[in-house]
Formats: sequence, C-alpha cells, structure tokens
Amino acid sequence: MELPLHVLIISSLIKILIVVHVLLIGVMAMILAERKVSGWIQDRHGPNRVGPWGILQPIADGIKFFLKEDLIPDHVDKPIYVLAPAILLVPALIICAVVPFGSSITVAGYEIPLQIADINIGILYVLAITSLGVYGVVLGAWASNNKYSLLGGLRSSAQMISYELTLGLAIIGVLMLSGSLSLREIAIAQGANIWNWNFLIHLPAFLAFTTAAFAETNRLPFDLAEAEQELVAGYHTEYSSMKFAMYFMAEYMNMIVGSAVAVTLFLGGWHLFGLENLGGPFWSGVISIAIFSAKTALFLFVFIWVRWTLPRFRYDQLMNLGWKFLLPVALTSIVVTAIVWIGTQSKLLVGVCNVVAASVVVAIVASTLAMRREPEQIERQEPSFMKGSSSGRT
Amino acid sequence: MNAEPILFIAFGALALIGAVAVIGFKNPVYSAIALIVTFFAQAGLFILLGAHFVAAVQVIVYAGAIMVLFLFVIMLLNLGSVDVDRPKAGIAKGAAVILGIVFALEGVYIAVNASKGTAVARVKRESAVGGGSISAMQLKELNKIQATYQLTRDEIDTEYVPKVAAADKTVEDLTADEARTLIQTLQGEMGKTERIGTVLFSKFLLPFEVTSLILLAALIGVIALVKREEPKEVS
Repeated sequence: MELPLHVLIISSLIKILIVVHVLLIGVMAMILAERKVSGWIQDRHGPNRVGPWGILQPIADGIKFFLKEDLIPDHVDKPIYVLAPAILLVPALIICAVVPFGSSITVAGYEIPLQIADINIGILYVLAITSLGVYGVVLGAWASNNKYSLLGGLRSSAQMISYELTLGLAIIGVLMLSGSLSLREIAIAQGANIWNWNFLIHLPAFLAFTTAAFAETNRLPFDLAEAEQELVAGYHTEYSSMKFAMYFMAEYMNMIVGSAVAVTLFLGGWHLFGLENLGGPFWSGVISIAIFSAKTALFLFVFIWVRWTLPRFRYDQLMNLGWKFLLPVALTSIVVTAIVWIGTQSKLLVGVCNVVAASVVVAIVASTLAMRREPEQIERQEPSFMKGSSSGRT
Repeated sequence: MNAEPILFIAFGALALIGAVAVIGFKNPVYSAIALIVTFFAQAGLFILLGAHFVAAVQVIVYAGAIMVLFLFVIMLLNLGSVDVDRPKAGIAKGAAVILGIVFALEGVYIAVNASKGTAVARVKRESAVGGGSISAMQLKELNKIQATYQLTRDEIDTEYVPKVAAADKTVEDLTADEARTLIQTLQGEMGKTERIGTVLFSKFLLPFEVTSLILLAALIGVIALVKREEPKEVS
C-alpha cells in the first residue's frame, strides 16, 4: 500500500500536528486527573474552584507558570541550565512518532495508517530515545550548581540506567513471539482476543516492564531524584516558571508515551474483540483510535493510583528491586519463552511456564536475601563507630 | 527529489563539528555533550547507509549508556574548567605535526579515490558501459552479497528479483539496469535486523561468542577489583 508522495507528506503533517497537540492536551488532562484522583483517594474534593468541577484548573496553572518571573540564578551554568529542560522534553515528544495509535483510516480514497512512521526498528528506536531522557535530568542537575540538585541528578541517572536494562530485556520475549521490531506488527500479531495479548503470555515480563516504566518516569514510588523531604526538589530545585513547567510536562508526557508503548506491546494495541473492525473503512479507524486511547487512559490511571498508594522506596531497596528481582525475572522470561516456544509452539504453555519460572526465581532470590540479612542485623546492634567512640573515652 | 546528499552533509558536518568541539571545550561536561552530538550524527549516517539496527544500537549503547556513565564520573569528580599544559617540548610537537600531515594526506587520498573505488561505483560504471544484459562484475557483486548474508540464489530469484523486474525472470536474465537496482535493493534490505541476526548467529557465531566471553571476563575482573574484603573482626 504505497501512498503518492504529496498524500504522504500532507497526511504525515496532519498526523504530527494532531499527535503533538493531543499529547500537550493530554498533559493538561493528566494534571487535572492526578489532582482529582488523589483527592478521591484521600477522601477530599481536589481542585473545584476554576470552572465547573475544576476542569479549567490546568489552564489556570499554565497561565500562572507563564506569568511567573523566569529566574535564572547567578551561580548556574547558563547554556546547559537553559538547554536541559528541552533535552528532557524533546525525547518524550519524538517517541510518539513510532507508536501506532490506531489501525488505518480511509480518507478520500487513500488508506492512511494511523501512525506517523512505521519504521522496521520501531521498538529499538523507542529504547534509544528513552535512554536519552536521562540527560535532561542529569545536565539540569549539574548546571544548577547546587548540591541537592546534583544528588538528585546522580540518583536519577543511576536509577534510570539500572531500570533501562529491565525495560529492554522484558520486551525480548514479546519480540520473539511476534517476530518483528515494528510496533505495528507487534500489535497486529497479538490479534483481537484478550487471551492472545502479550500481558497474559508474558505476565512476569509485563509486570517487570511496568515497574521499570514507573522508574524511568521518576514517579513515586521511584521519585528519589526529587524526594522533597530529603533534597528540596531534587534536580529541579533551581528551576522556576516555564522551565520548571517543562520538567513537569516532560514527566507527564513520558507517562503518556510510556503507557501508549506498553499498550502496544502488551495490551493488544488498538484491538478489542473485533470491535475495531466495525463501521466501514472510516469509522473503524476512529473506533480503533478510541479503543487505543481508552486502554492508554486505563494504564495512566494505574500510574496515578500507584503514586497515591505506595510510599517511596529507600535507595538500597530500589537497587535491590531493580538488580536482584526485576532483572533476573526479565532474563528468565527470555530463556523460558525461547525454550518453550521453540519446543511446543503453544502460547498457553509459554504463559504458564513464564509465571512458574518467575515465581521460582523470585522465591530463590528472596530466600537468599533473607538468609544473608541475619549477620547484618547482628552487626547493626553494635555499630562500629559506637565501639570506637566508647573506647576513645575510656 | 533526492534528500540523501543534503542529509549526508548535514549529519557529516554535525559529526565533525561535535568531534572538534570535544577537544575544543575546556569544560569536560561540554566536551561530553559534544561527544553525544557526534554519536548522534553518526547514527544518522548509519541510517543513510541503510544500517538501521546499527544506528539504534549506536544511540542505545554509546549515546544512551556509556556517555551517561562518563557524565556521572565527571560530575562526581566535579571537574571545573581544566587548563591543559600545552607541551613545550620539540619532540611531541614535531610528532604531532608529522602525524597531522600524514592524516590530512590520507583524507585527501580517500576523498580523491572515493568516487571510483567503491563497489557501488564500480558496478555503476560497469553497467553504464555494458548496456544490455547483466555484467560479470554485477554477478560477482551479487555472489558476494549472497555469500555474506547466507542467501541462496533461489531466494534472490523468488523474493528480490520480482521487485525489480518481471516475476518469471532469474538473475541471469536481468538487464544491467535491473541488476543495478537489484543490488541496491539487496544492500538496503541486508541492513535489516533480521539479516544481521541470521549472519551473526551463523557465519560469525564464533567471533560473536568470543566477544561475549571477553566482555564477561572484563565484567568479572572489574567486580574482583572493586569488591573489597569484609573488614575482619578485631577481637
């Protein structure tokens, strides 16, 4: 299905415009949703002063950001300080170029795929661009020339590098079954029915991927980079006005794009029991977009839900979780999927074996850790510095 | 409309500017950022060559992982602007000048020979002279591609020939023009991840496994060096 060049250019431009604006509006909706849902979870009203039910609150917030003084402190490294928020925001925007947000739509006789660019290394492109997001945080932290910012930046870079591995490895099982790196092909390979979707076949990998996605977006329970009780506001302590707003937007945009990628990889993309094929060549496209958006919204709700439910991890807990639980689970998922799929060609068996293997691995790691903890606790009852000081005094 | 030369010049210029900036900046953080720009531009050049997988890996590994660690270390050591002591000694300067001249001459030599030396250019020249049917040179080129990427002649006949000529033709029946397009198609096709995987796990399996062993050895070495002995209890 080759489109003529002028149709390709015009349709791509329209798609880019729409996707970018939907993302920006999505950020506003997410900010409102976050505050409303948090209010609901904490049994209070949330914003309800601006507009009916407070739906104009994000606009008021935006105006506030624009009108605030754009303060650049004297002690910062100016070029990088100004550049850093953009470095974080741009990767978040350009990842959505490869995400298929629907099947295809027929307009004026041309069948236009609902995706900006279907490149054959789709998922690798996503991983590559995701890995650049860390620079915005690290450079902003360094340029601020403030020790709290720097600590936040260092925490964040260590965290993002650790969880990036899990993010990449958890996907491999999915790639093996769909036999393609293109996000569109992966979505099509899952088909219309829920029992063929990857989140059931690769349940442990899906959970590892989701956890890693939380860590990559620096959200609670992984927000050590901006832990306000310890680091003021972490890497964006020195930022104000629109530059702070850009960090804020990038976080929400990363959540939206991350959810969209997760939906494509694990939740069947735009498919839902054949509902996406109803209504002819035009309306089926619209329906597929609606299904995809609904699934993404569901995933985003989980993001908010988790943030207002779980407390923050301690740093060593974070590293333990990443390296000792998630990484082994992701690796096991690769080995088990490969062996069972080659051996039996049965998706059911792959799903069952994945869960069993992951439980075994988690049990082994947990028991090993539990056994090792005992001597540590004995030592902690009499820390060495106390020994030293007491012997010094006597 | 051919955008390739424009993109090549853009990415090439960006890579060169970034590379010069790496040694030009006094502040190591700026140098690191310039290096990231260079890696990125290189990834762009890889994409122009049809090597999409290599481009993605370039960004993931170099720009995304290794440079983050560089920045990490630079930031932890908190290096400010570094004033490098320029060597005054004659020997170092003289060697630098000589090596620089040799390097520049190499560059000129490559630039002069680039247009006639490459396989694509040879095939193009050959077919421009040959006119009619597929030439010996083109057949040789095809055989080379076939051997490198573990294809069979049947696969080329059934999968790739129909893309450039009538479906019932085989490689031997092609005209020179069609053969040229076929070679270009194959070269583009072979940069794909699937082919790289096939070649890596068949023809280059041993080097691949040996490389992974070397990396494993390095990994174990680092852990052995870094992991300190638990302080022994002083009773």
